[in-house]
Amino acid sequence: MSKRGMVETRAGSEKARRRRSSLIGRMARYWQLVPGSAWMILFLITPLLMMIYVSFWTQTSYDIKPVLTLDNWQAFFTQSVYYSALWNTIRVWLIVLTATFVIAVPVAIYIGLFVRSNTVQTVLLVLAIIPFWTSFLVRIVAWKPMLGQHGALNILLMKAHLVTEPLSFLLYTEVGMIIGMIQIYLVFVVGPVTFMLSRIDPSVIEAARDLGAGTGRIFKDILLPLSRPGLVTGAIFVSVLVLGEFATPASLSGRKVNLLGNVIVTQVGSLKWAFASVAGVVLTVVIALVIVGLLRITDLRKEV
Amino acid sequence: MATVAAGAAQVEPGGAPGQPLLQVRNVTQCYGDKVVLRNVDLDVCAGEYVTVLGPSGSGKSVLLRLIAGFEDPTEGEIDIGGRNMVGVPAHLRNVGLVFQNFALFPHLKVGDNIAYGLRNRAYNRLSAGAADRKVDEMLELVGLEGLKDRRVNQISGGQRQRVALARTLATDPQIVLLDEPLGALDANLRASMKVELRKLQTRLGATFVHVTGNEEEALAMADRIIVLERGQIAQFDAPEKVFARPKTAHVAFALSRFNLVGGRVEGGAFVGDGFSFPMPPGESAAAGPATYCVGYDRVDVEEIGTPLPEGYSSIVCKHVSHEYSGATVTYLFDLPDGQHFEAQYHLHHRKAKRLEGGTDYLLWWPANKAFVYLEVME
Repeated sequence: MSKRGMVETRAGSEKARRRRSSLIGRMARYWQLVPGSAWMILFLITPLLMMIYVSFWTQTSYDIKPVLTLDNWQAFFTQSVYYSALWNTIRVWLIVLTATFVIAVPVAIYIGLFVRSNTVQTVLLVLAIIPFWTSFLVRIVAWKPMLGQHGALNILLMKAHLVTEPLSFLLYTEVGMIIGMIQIYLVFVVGPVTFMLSRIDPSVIEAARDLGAGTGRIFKDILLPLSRPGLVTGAIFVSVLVLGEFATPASLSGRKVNLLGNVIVTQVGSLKWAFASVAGVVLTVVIALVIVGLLRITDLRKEV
Repeated sequence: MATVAAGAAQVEPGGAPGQPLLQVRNVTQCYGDKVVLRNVDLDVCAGEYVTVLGPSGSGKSVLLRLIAGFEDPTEGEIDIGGRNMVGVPAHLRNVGLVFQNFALFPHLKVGDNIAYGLRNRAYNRLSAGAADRKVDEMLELVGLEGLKDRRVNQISGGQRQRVALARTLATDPQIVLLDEPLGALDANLRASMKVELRKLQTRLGATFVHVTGNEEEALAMADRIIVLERGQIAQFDAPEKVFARPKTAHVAFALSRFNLVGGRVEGGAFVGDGFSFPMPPGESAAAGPATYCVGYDRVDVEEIGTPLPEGYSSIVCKHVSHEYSGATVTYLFDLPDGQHFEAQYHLHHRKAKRLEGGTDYLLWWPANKAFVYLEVME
């Protein structure tokens, strides 16, 4: 074979190889989607569709049949046990979200803006997450000896002569449940907000002051917009977790407060899959609406 | 200490006639045991361009922060427009600070950055329309027309510098403070900004206090220059005067234009290890450790054996190497005791020399252009 021929053949096979590899390359782009899509279809889309489907099945006291009916949905929105659970969930969510923000934002401002040493910042944040070293249920149960009639809080209040007899509304009430939730979810706001605030260049705040802006203006025009991604992230964490709660109300409210999560647990417990599915669909819709609403405040992808 | 210099005639509104616009009175600033500024006294007149030169750690940025109002001095008083400002918070002082890193608001557009002070300051807030007109005016002033709606991360470093400047100037501050404003720019940009800053200041008739660690910048831009040395004012005078007669060895060092040779004054001469110069006329002859100082460009390099002219001091030392920089060439020498010595030739005035490395040459300079300081540099 002549030299020239060899070169040509080589060039030809090179071309073919490149064509083949470009085809594989194009395919590879889609192949990369497979594991993620498979996972989502198997563990998110299918169960969701299944849940919606089951919510229309016919439920009797002892049995469930795949005969489509609107009865379950009608029951959910007419029987007060169910729709009051929906309102309770939304009310408790708003109270806990507001309270965590009222407490967490000043804490985050302190750690993120006023503590200038990185070590001290880290130490304070670690202190905030120490309760997470134990399990969720232990953290809830630990509130019982704090809040009870003979609990630590009442002993302190009595010793300080702030009350003459122990407060009885602290445990097995909505108050106790809300106290517990605030403590558990506080750190989900403190963390992201502190992180965003600590990334603000201190000279930017000084520049605003130098240009004549007072503290209120600086908070509104500089700190708030620059920490917005942290605020939204914190709000999403707290919202998703509180809306799906069932353990804290069960334990600390003495089963007096029923949230959608508790409805689902009870219905599943008595094998009423169709009712449980209705509550599940309603809860999913509520959470989705809240997340979409919060993401409208800021586009997290653009911010970071 | 500071004398009222040129510019005292024009007085800004707010300053009593005949009084300096800014008066720093006996200011001392300590952080714990560490004294950062000690008994600083200075006056700046309306319309003046003052530069503050000092190495890092000399307290120059702290001085700016005290004037801006981010901190209050441990002792002393700061008067602006005849009013004592100690205790007045930064946002009520009407002093503008241009930050070294520009400190632009990252979430606001260029136009909104410039309008920030006009819309948000605690006093004399402008309406949206008036603020908008002022922003256009400022954009034109700093040459950024058309960039109003850009985000600040979409513009170059030099443009960001201009936005920072426009944002400060927009609020018509009584005093504009600049903290190493050219430090973050590349060399070309620095040179053109230097000219532009000075032009802008003249055009606005504003009072600028410009902090820098760069002696060239300090000398080129200033009506008067403050040399800070470990928290104290070493010299405060017109640049020509500071250059002609640096008050201390540290001032001469800060200007980076002088040979500083360590030795002793002994028997009416300056003596080192292996060399000795007659005392320059008019210098104190008290015996003790001392530093001999002569400008790089005062020194001539000659072959050994050339007869020494009348009134010149000289030394024989070894040529090491040279640095050519276009307009000048600098010859480096080693003294007999290992100290360095430089001779700088401005090529427009003197012809470059051809020198052999490792060979001894005779260096001489006019004796009356040298100084002796009774202090030693560490």
